[in-house]
Amino acid sequence: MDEERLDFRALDPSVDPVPWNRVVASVVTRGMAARAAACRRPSVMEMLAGWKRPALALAAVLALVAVPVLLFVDPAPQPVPAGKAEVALAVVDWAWAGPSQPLDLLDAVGR
Amino acid sequence: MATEVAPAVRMPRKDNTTHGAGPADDATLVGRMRGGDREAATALVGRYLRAAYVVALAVLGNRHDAEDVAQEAFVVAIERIEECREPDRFAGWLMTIVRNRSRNLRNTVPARRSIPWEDDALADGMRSPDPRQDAERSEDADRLMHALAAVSDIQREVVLLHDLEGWHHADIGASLGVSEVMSRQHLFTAHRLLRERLVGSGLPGGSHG
Repeated sequence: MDEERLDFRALDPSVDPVPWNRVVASVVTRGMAARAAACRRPSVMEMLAGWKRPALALAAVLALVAVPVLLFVDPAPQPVPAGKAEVALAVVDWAWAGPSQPLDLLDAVGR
Repeated sequence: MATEVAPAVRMPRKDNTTHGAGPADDATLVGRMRGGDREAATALVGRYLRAAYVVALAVLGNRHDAEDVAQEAFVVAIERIEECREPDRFAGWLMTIVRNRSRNLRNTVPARRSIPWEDDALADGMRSPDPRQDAERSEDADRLMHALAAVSDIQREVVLLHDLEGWHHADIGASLGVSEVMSRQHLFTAHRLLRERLVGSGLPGGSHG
């Protein structure tokens, strides 16, 4: 195989050491600054821990609002409308009356 | 967006040894950098920034963009050094970041700068105080860039890492996820195509180093 090298020195960015060393120093400075900032950045667990107090305060407020509402609201179910109750009773009577025709059902509900 | 996953590659370098008073190996430098050691970071940047530039150049074909991407990728690598799970394979991890960021840039902003492989200006880090010297180097660089346009991304990366950066085929193959034999094949093909293009251009197509 051909192992002879072509001369790519014209593309070598480090051929002049002065500007190249500046670039290297700049990359190091930016990288270390970014790393220091990343280390200071709180983790997800730390962020969640930071929200602990506001979350507890919000939960307490919701509890204070919810307790009187639950105490004073009537939990009894709404009564069935009178018209619907009559129809239900008529259907039950018709069913208990023994063998009959469908038309009797209409008579029973008053239709 | 391509993900930046640490590949299973190892990058042994000729100067990457812990023997005697020689330079520290990558794993040692990564460990020290994690502890905030600026000198370790400087050593790693000095060791691999040019290779990062070469990989970016192979993908982007634009020296300005390649320099920007190589620097940004290195800044990100330092920032996220904790994510480098195998510190002795830092170079392969870094090159994956560079390659992915270069491809993302090429895919998202294809016409941001001059036509790839046809740019005619030296990147910021390559300027010297002598404008005449810069002009001569710029002409040579233009011819090389024009010739490099004739080969594929992977061939460009192989030939630049081998000829300019001095990497061995085992390292190049590991970085690219191909075999050493395939790396040699890519180099052979790239050299043939490049020599065809460089003949008569007056360019240094011969050997060096």
